Amino acid sequence: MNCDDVKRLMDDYLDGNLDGEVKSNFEIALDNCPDQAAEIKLLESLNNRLRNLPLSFEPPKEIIPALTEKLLEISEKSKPVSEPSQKIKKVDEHIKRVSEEERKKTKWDKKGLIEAFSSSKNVSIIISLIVLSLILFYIYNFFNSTSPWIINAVQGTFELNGEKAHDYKAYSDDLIKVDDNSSVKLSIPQEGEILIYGGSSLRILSTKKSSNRINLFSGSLRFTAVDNSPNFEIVYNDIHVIEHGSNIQAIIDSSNNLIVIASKDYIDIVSPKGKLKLANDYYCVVDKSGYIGFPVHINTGQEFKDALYLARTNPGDINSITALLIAARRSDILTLLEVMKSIPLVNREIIYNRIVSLFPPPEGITKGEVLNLDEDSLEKLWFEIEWQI
Amino acid sequence: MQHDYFQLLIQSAQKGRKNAFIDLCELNTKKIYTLCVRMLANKKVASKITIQIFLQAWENIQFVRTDTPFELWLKSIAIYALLEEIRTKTVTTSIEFDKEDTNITTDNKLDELLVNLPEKERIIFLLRESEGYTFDEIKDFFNEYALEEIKLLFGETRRKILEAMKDEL
Repeated sequence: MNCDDVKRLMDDYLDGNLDGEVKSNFEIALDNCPDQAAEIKLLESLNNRLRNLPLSFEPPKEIIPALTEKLLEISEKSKPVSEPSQKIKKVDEHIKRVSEEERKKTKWDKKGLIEAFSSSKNVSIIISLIVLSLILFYIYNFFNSTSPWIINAVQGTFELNGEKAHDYKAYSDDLIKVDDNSSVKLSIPQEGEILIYGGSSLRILSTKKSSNRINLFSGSLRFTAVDNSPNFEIVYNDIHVIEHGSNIQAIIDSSNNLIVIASKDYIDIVSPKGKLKLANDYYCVVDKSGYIGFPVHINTGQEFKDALYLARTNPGDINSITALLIAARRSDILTLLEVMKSIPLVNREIIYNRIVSLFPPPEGITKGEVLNLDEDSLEKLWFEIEWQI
Repeated sequence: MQHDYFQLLIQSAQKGRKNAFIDLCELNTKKIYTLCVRMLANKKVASKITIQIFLQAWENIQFVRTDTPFELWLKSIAIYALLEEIRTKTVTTSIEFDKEDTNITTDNKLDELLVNLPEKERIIFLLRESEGYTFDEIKDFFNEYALEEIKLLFGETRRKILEAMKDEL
């Protein structure tokens, strides 16, 4: 192969189209063609620059608001997409090919490693790798941990594992009791802060990035998230309060009921008696046996609260439902959705009509599914409303 | 394997949670918009197409593959939407734009060279070099050209850019 052949095959070489003998001949010949070798070096450098182009263009600020508006319109017009289009199938094919190439690359990397092992037969390398793996394991655990949590007395005093303390570090299994007229701040590094009020006691159950859990025994607290997904959970008896980027206020009242208030985002409440999604600015009462009450908006009117009480005590009574619908405001719709789930099928439609008059159902769900309490459809409708509220 | 937060947002969006989807879009707006500007060489059209891409992504959110990065899926959707626009000029002919929209300047010399290439050269070059599409895939997009024609055009563009960038490589 001479330098003219090298020049002719240069693009194929750069595009990875040469293999076997042709490729080795090309590489041997390249040593004798300094001009072509220099050009290849430049082209490889250009390739590298192109694969790592910076994000040079600042998008206009109106893109996201315009998208939000369009998404709202979609609720009313669009039909569900149940089958992938031809375009999506092609997208999938492309992604599969790219992933396959990545996998092959990794496979070859691994193969190279195995060959290196068998050829060197160097036991010390194996030992070094085991040590390295152990170190990595500890590093992983270190980075997956949020421990220790930091306790500061904001006011007054508290006990840590039965002993008086002031500022301290807390770990999994530690028991914290805050004295009356005191308050304590418990910081979960990079995840959030718990403000524990006087007369409260709790135990830390887990201090991992994937799961930060506390068991609340008494009193009240407020959790403020500093991360988008802090994985924070409060456990009370068999009741689990799980945040989704939200702030939580949890209060155990004198009758041992748990009152939960969500702000910023939504919360999942799960108990053996049921489950509930609690939207931003809503609260609910979970009794000590795990029965979850209706969610109520924090700014709801007294008239709606009274009507809700009647609807709860006379489930399915059409007069109570009518009174509830009259008193309901836009922000009470998620309460209505829960009420609808609790009454007989025959009375659900009147509530459904009121809900969809304010929040048209999203694509892909039907009236029948909602009225028959299909879980998936109810969840989609819930998210559609919560997003707009 | 996707980042936990991305997984969470994708799962929420698949359940119909539009604010989770908007969060996903916000995290990818700059990437998609930059891709659109490079491919279309028109900022106003790029902005409109970016929104269309996100809407197409929402319509097809159920088909997101969990074994590949969301960004790759979204970019692939974007490429199809961009090529559709390049073929039909639907948005380009329906809106008015001024010189500022098409006279694109940036601090990055390579980017500036790319947006100022003739359309066909720019698209083929970007698809191959920046987005990693094979010549056969590019041929699927441009049925009117023979494979050899595409390869030739690509090779010429590569050398044209190399010549202009020589001092900086």
